[in-house]
Amino acid sequence: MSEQPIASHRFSPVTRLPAPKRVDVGHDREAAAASEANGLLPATLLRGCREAIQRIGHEGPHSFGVTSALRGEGRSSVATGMALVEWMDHERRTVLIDLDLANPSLHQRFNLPAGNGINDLVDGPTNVEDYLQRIVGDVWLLSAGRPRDDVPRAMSRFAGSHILSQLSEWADTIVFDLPPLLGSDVGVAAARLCETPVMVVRAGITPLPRVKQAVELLATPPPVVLNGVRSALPPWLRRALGDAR
Amino acid sequence: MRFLETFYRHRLLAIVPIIIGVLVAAGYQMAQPGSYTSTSSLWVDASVPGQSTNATAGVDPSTLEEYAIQELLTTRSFAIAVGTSGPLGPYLSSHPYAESTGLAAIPGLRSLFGTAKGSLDDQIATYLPNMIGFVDAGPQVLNIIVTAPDPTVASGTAKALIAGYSAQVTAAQTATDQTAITYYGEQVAQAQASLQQAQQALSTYLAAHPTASTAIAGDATTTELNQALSLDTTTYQSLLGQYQQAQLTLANVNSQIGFRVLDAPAASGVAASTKKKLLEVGIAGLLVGLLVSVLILTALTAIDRTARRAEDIKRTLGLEVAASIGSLGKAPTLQGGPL
Repeated sequence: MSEQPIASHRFSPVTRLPAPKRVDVGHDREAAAASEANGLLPATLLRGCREAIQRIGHEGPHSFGVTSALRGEGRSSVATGMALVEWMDHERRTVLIDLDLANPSLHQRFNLPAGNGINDLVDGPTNVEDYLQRIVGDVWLLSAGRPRDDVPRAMSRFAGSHILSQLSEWADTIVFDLPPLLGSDVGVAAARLCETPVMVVRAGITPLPRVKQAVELLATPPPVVLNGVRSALPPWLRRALGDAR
Repeated sequence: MRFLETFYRHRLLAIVPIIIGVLVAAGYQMAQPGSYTSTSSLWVDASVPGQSTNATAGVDPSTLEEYAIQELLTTRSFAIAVGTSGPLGPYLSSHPYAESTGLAAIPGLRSLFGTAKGSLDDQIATYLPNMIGFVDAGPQVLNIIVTAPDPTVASGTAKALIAGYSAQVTAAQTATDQTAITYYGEQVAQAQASLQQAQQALSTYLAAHPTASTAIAGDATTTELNQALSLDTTTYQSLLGQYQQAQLTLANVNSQIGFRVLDAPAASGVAASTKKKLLEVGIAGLLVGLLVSVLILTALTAIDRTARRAEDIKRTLGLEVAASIGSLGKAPTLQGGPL
């Protein structure tokens, strides 16, 4: 297995599964990749994702599934942020999986080609490594692939395949960008694939009854990431009211 | 906290009702007709003639005078008499909407809120009582305040009111005095006849008994007739005095109306303070706008079912909030914050 410099393969599909061992690319190159990762998302978002991961806490291989009640609540941003933080803070090889098969968007976020993805993987015995695209550093994207109409069937095949087990052995952390629980036919089925579902709620947008309805679909109450929190109060009034945020 | 959040989030929505309230109130006040007052003061000598009863005992003369004028103003005939004798009637003829106030005073809303115009007499009878106000300055001083859209109308109506009231009092007093004269006249006539009969009886008796008037011991009949004559004379003189008093009272009725004018209505009324009125109405509009604003914000707060803060999630859903991410209003930076 020939090793290629990670930085040079940025935004390019890998052709084979990288080695599970850490690749020593040198301090300067790693620092450059970390700096680049920081530039991919707003610092506010990265801070929130870091806080969420610390509170949820885990040891060893793990998978997060970032879901929400409705579309437009910031699932993909939070999923990306958690994947980046896993690599930047904990040096974990992380795979970000775009499981929103009906409306994939993650590849666009990183200016990556849609390429082949889950929708193609589930149709035949293909090596998953051929479908991974490096985002930055040791963060990889498994995109949704070509659009297809039978999303529930594709999801069912994905759940029954060995793709996840292969990825679990190869990566330290898997972060799923899940479809919304109420806005998708496969939201609940997709959420069952991950160990820890994380519910993103858009502050001031998502009605709480809808969030409650979505949470009831999950087996266990998920931790919540409240996204887009913005107090309209002026700072002096927040201080006067004892609201430190 | 959520209410304050709603306020700061919808500042424009909160402020607009207040601004509209003030503007509408100011416009409303500006559309109202001008207001001029004319004040006159009366010195009330005694209670109103003919009104002195036990029920009014202890009430100040000025108060009784006020009651009397107010009572008269409720009568259509008196109001019309005052209105037509003063400048109010001609003014209402030339200004058909002068009496319109409130929303009816606003040109575009007259058809919606204005009442149907009656005859001139109807307008006077309706409008005049609302123009008159009273202030008891003391037990015997009564101030009459007439408010009108024109200074000449205000002062002229005040003069007409005093003149009309004076005429009414005079008429009432004249009627009373006339009745007294008639009564005492009849009584005097009867007393005079009785006196003549007594004199006739005494003369007849003395003629029939010439010695009766010179008798030392006196004559009982003569004495009796003299006493009757004396009694009738006294009665007659008393009634005659009262009759003459009644005649004198009637003759002086114009000077016994019970009041005199201390301060005559000024020729030009004083304009009511527009600024003060505008301020009052403006504050009222401000308060109404504030109330509307509070109601809107309360409604917005009540119908907001979204989570604004982590506490909302915990309280409503019982879920733990792992992180709160601030608004991503800014575009992603190429070089993010410190790790």
